[in-house]
Amino acid sequence: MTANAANAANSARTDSAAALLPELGADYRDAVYAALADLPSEEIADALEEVETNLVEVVSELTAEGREIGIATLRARLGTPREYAAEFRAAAGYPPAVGRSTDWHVTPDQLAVVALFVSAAFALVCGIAVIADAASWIWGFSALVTVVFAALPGSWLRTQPPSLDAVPPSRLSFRAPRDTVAAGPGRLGRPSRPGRLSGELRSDLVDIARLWWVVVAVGLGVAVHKADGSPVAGTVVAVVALLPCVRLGRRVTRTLGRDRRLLWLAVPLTAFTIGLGVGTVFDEVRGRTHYYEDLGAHHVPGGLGSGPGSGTA
Amino acid sequence: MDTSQLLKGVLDLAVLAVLRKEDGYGYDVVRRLRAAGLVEVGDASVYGTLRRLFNAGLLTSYAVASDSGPHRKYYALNDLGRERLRESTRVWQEFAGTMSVLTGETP
Repeated sequence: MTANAANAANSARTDSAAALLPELGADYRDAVYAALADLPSEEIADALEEVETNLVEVVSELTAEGREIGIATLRARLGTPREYAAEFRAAAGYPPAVGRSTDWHVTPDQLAVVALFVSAAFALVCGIAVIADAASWIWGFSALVTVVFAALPGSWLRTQPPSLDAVPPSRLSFRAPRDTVAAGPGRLGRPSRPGRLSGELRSDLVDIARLWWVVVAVGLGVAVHKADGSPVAGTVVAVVALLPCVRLGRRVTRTLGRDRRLLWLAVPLTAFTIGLGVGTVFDEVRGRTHYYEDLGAHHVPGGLGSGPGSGTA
Repeated sequence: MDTSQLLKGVLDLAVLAVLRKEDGYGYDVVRRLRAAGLVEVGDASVYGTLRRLFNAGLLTSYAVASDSGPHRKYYALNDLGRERLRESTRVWQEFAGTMSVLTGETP
């Protein structure tokens, strides 16, 4: 937010309004302010006051309905802060955002997701390199990049509430709040029914997920064994890592729908384990290739023309 | 049919019509529009429309203290707004009549 916008926002914000907004509501308001920070100076104070008043009304209404003021409820009701700001801007006839291209605007959340992908990619390479007996600097560098790219956004995310803007593609400006649309004649209060997996299939998937995290723990042990050369160290690591890995998997499964911060630990570990598997396959194929090459070199010293079917002349 | 696109074209008229009988603040206008059947209208669209109509000189505003929160900015139609409402209503009724005839001809 620019200095002018911040000052205007502060002047527009009454103490009572600020006190009425819970933390997430205030976060939402600040995100909308940021998206409107480039409005003409003569307009911004009134515009932001309207936004704040709207949020106070919505929060009051949701509270009166007994609903928790969370990210999901605010997004379902108003859209993301950026969607809200865009809708407000368009309806008010304000000029499009200046100073940055919407297409190229990168939020910290998006950077964190990019870092997650980078971390996962290098974890995959690290896993392959360890199993394939690549030079130690390759897997060492990969491991370093993996940890850095997972740890930095991960530590930042731990200080943040779950993202307000991390949502599926935006809807149209004139959006229909689910609760309002559902409240038609004869349908009042009927809860929506989100799609759910059948109980048995869900149970199977949970079992598979648990098994996977056992595999991850074993994979860590195998990696240490390959890197260190000590089967004892590998076994110790696998045993020590078993419980934390299983617990991590369980927490990720439980919290995935509302809090994805643990993904910055779980995804690199998963990629690393997949890398170990890929490296094993690669190593096996390479070993067989060398075996057949060696076999060919011993049995066919003359080269071409000695293989099966070649002696029919 | 995507009614949100239709709504974009008539939101000015809808907001002016809501304010014709009684002054209202932003969220009050949102509620009245939804109660009238425009359930797809977005909060930000209404608040933004009120700002635009006010800046265009069609509305006046005044603050009223509220027991439950910050003061509320009430909007009211002025003469220019009432004139715009009459003109927009006429255009809408002609358009709606044309569409009714047109769609009535199709089997």
